[in-house]
Amino acid sequence: MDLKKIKALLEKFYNGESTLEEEKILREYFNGDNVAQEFAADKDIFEYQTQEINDLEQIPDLSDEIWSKISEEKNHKTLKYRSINTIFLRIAAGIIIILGLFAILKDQNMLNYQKTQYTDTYQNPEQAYEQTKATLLYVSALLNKGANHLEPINKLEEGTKELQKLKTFNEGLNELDPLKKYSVANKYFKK
Amino acid sequence: MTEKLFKDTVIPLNRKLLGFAKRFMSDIDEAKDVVQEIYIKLWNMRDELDQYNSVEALAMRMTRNLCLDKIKLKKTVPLNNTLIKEEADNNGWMKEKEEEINIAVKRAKNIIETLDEPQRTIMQLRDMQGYDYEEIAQILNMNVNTIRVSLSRARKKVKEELINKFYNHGSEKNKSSVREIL
Repeated sequence: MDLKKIKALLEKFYNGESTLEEEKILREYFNGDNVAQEFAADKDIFEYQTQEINDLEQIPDLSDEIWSKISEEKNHKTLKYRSINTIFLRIAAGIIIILGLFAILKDQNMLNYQKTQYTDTYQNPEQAYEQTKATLLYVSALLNKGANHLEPINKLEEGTKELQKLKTFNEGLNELDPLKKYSVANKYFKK
Repeated sequence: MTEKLFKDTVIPLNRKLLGFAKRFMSDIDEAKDVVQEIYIKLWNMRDELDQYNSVEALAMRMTRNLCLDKIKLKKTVPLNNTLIKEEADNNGWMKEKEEEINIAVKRAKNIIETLDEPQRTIMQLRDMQGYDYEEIAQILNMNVNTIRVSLSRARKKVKEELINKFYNHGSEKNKSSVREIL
């Protein structure tokens, strides 16, 4: 190929005006053996392009991998859909059970309430008063019995009184305070 | 878009997307992850895909955005400047590839990797992946003219740098000989 034509094509190339077809012609020329010395830099560029294009041809095809990933994604979606349905079903079942329990318990409460309706046991009010008094006295006696067992706690109080003597120790410590002045004086001595 | 249409028209784009993602991620496995992620997104929006006049441009744009997001997030893989070279050297996969590439190709590669982001992407899309300006404009959401100008600048810059770095010895000799004559 004559140099004039190559030069013209190169000019177009560097101005960004060459077509893809013309660029292909240039690549073919520069991959040939008879390249003029003056085009050494251009040759580097076009050889690099050729190299890169060849590299791109070696790029593996990922179609199968991609398609299996997409299939996974599809399954994932339907799974999600299914799990949402089951969750809804579970919640619905739970609500029904709770409502059912409520209804049953309510019914039973009503029955119990009817059973324990209060009725008078004594006809004579005085007799009733005596009976109540006796019962309350019995309860108070039991309470006192329990309180007696708490007596030993008093001993604990006596013990703490003895510990009051520690206060004098504290006072002694306070009297030692003036010693601080001694340490201050010591500092001046060191200086 | 039906499942069949998706399988027949969108899935086959994966090699182009991977080739594109590979440019950004420097690690083939990371690039594959990006592509997988894009496909899940595309699948989930398959009902809206008919509204786009080019699903390919959309997929490419999504790929680029995701790659840029990931790079921003990691901040360990710089897109330009010389750091990328060290990264590449540490990276086994790139290293193997680089050993195969002859020195001349390496020179151009190193310089192209120093280009700014949109320029480098435009060059990748045009010179390596063979997209026309209209398609690149759609992918990058830019004006066709801007892309043409940017690409022209990028190509000129690469040539200039190559000459400055590797082919300047001849002209320097010429200059010195001229000086001698004077």
